Amino acid sequence: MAFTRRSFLRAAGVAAAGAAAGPLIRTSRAGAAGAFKAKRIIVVSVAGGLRLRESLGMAEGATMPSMLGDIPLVSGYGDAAAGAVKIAPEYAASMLPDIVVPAPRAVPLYAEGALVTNVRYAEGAPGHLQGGACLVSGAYNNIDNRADAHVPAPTLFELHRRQANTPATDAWYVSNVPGFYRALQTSVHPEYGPRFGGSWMSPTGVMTPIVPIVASGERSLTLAGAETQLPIVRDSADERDAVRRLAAVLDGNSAPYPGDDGIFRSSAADNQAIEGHLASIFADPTYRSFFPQEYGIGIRGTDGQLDATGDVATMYHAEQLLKTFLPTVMVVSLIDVDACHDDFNAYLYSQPVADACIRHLWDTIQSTEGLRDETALIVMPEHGRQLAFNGKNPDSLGRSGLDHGGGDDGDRDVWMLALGPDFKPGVYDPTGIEQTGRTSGRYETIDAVMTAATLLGYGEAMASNLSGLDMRPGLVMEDILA
Amino acid sequence: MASLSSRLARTSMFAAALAVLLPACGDGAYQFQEVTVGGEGDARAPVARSNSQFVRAIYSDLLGRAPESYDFVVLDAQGNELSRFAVDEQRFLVSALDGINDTDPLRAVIAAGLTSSPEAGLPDKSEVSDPEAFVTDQFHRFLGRDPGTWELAAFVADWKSSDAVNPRTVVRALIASREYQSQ
Repeated sequence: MAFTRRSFLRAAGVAAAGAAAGPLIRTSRAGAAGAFKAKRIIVVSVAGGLRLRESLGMAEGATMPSMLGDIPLVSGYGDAAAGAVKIAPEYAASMLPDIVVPAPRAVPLYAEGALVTNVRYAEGAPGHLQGGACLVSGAYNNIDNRADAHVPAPTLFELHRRQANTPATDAWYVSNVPGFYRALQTSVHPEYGPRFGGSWMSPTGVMTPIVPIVASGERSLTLAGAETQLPIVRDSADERDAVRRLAAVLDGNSAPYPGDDGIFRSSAADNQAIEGHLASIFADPTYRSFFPQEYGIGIRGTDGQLDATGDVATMYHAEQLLKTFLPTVMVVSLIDVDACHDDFNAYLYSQPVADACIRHLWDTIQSTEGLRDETALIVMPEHGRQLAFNGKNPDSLGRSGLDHGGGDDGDRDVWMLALGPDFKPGVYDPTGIEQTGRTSGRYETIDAVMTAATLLGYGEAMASNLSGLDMRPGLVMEDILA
Repeated sequence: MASLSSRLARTSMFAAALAVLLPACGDGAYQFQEVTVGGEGDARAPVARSNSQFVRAIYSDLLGRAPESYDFVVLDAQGNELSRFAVDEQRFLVSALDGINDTDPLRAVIAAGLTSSPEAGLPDKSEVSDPEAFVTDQFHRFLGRDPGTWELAAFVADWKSSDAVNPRTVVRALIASREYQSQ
C-alpha cells in the first residue's frame, strides 16, 4: 500500500492517541518527510507570556498588526478596527521609549498562513522553562525553574540530529535571555542527550561590542570622525587554521573529554564554523555586524541612533545564523513582553516590536535563496498571562502588572500562526478534538510541536518516545495542512 | 630479668595463638588480589575549566594580572571627555561566554583579541630569532612544562613553513588546547 501523507498523518494520530505505550520506535525521515514541502522548521516563541485578550483580542489596541492585522480575531472584542496601542498618557509623556517599527503589512501574515485562535496550553506550569521545554519537545512538563533543568523527552534538536546525523549547527536554539534556556536543547532521555543537542546562543550576551572592547585592552576611544578606529578582534582565516593545526598537535597527546559527563560539545567542524561566524562579526570595524541601523526595528536613542532591544538583537542574529548555516531546526525565544510582571505599558509596546521582528524574519526567509518555499514558521506564545492584574505600577487606565504561572484561562489560552508551503491559509478554531487524556477538546501547544516534528518526518518518533515515557503526545493538526 | 615461669607463660600464650591462627591461614599460598594499574593511555579524564576560571587564567598567564574593573572613556578629537562607562573585564567576558553552549569558539575569539593587545606584548615573528626557544618558553608559560620532542618539532616546522604561524598563533594554539582549557 502506498504510504501517503494522509495515511502517515492518520498513523501518527493513532500513535499520538497514547492508547499503546509501546517500546520506543525510531523511524527514519524517509516516507513521511518527503510528503511535505518544508525542509526546515522554525518555531518562534513569544516568551514570557502573551494573553489572548491583548494579542488576538486587541483589547488594548492592535499590538501585533503585521501578524494579526487590526481587527480582533476572537469573539468578545468587537469587529471594528482596534486602533493604536493604548499606552497610558502619563507613561507616554515620561517613560515611553521612541519605538521604531516599520508600517504594518498591508496584508497581515495571518491571511497568508494558518491561524489557530483557540490553542490550549493544557498542562504543566505556565512558566518560562516549562513552556519553553514544551515548545522544543512537545512534552507538557513541570521541570524545575533552574538554568540546568533539562526536558524529559527528546527535543526537536535531538530528534533531528540523531535521525539525520547532522552537525550541531543544523539545529539552533536562539534565546533572548543568556543562560536561562540553554539547557533546553538537550533532554535527559537516555537514548538522546548532549551528543544530539543543538547549538545554543543568546545574542544579547554574545553579540555585543563589549567583547572586542575588553579584549583590545584599550581603556579609551577617541572619536575622530571617519578616522575613528573602533576596537575589533583582528583575525584571519589563515591564522585560525594555523591555531587549529597547532592545537591539534597538543590535543593528540592529551586525554579526550569524557563523552558521558552530560556536557554538550560541538564537533571540531561545528566549532570551526561558529568561530568563523563570530570572527566575522567581531572583526567588523563599523560595528554594523552587531546591529545594523537598516534593520529598522528598535528604540531610537537621544543621538538618533537605533538601538536593539533584547528581542530585536535576538531576531537579527537568529536571521544571521539562519542565513549562514541554513539549519533544519531553529527555535527562537523572544521575551521582552515579560516586562509585564512589573510594567503593563512595556508589555504593550514590546508586542509591536516582537511583531515587527517576526515579520522581518518571514521577509528574510522569503528573500533568501535556500529558505524561501521550503521553510515552515510556527509562531506562538510560550504561554499566556493570568487574568487578574497584580497591582504593580498601576496606570491611569486602571491597569497594572500581570504575572503568569497560576494556571488560569488567561495563562492557558494561546494561539498559533503557521506559515509555509504546507499550511492551508485560514483562521481556525476547531473544537471536538478527541484524544485519551485530552480534556480541552481543542488543539494544544503540544500539537503545534507534533505538527512541526511531523513536517520533518519525526512525528512518529516523537509520539513513540513520549508514549514510552507515559506522556501524552500531541496530535498532528491536520485541519491546517494543505 | 624475667623469671623462667613468666617466659614459659609467654611461650604457652604464643603457642596458643599459633594454634588459633595457623588453621585460618589455610594450607595454600596466599592469593593476592589482582590490582589494575591502568595502561599508558588511561590518563585522567580532563574536566573543562569554567568560563570564570578560563578568563582568570588567560589574564594571569597572558597579561600577568587579574581582570580589572575600570571606566572606559570616550573622547572627542580635542581630547574632551564625551562619556564613560564602567567595564568589569571578568564579568563582561564571562557573561558573553555564558551566552553560548559550547564556548570554544568564543574563547578562541577572546584569545585572538587579547593576544593582539599591546598589553600582551607578543613580538612580531621577525623579532623572534630562535623559534625553538620561543615555543619552549610559551609551553612553560601556559602549560607549565617542556614541549615534547615531537610537539616542539611540529610547532617549529609549522613556524618555518607557514606565514600564518607566528608568536600570536603559537600562544593562541596553546590557549586553545584541551590541556590549557581543562583543569
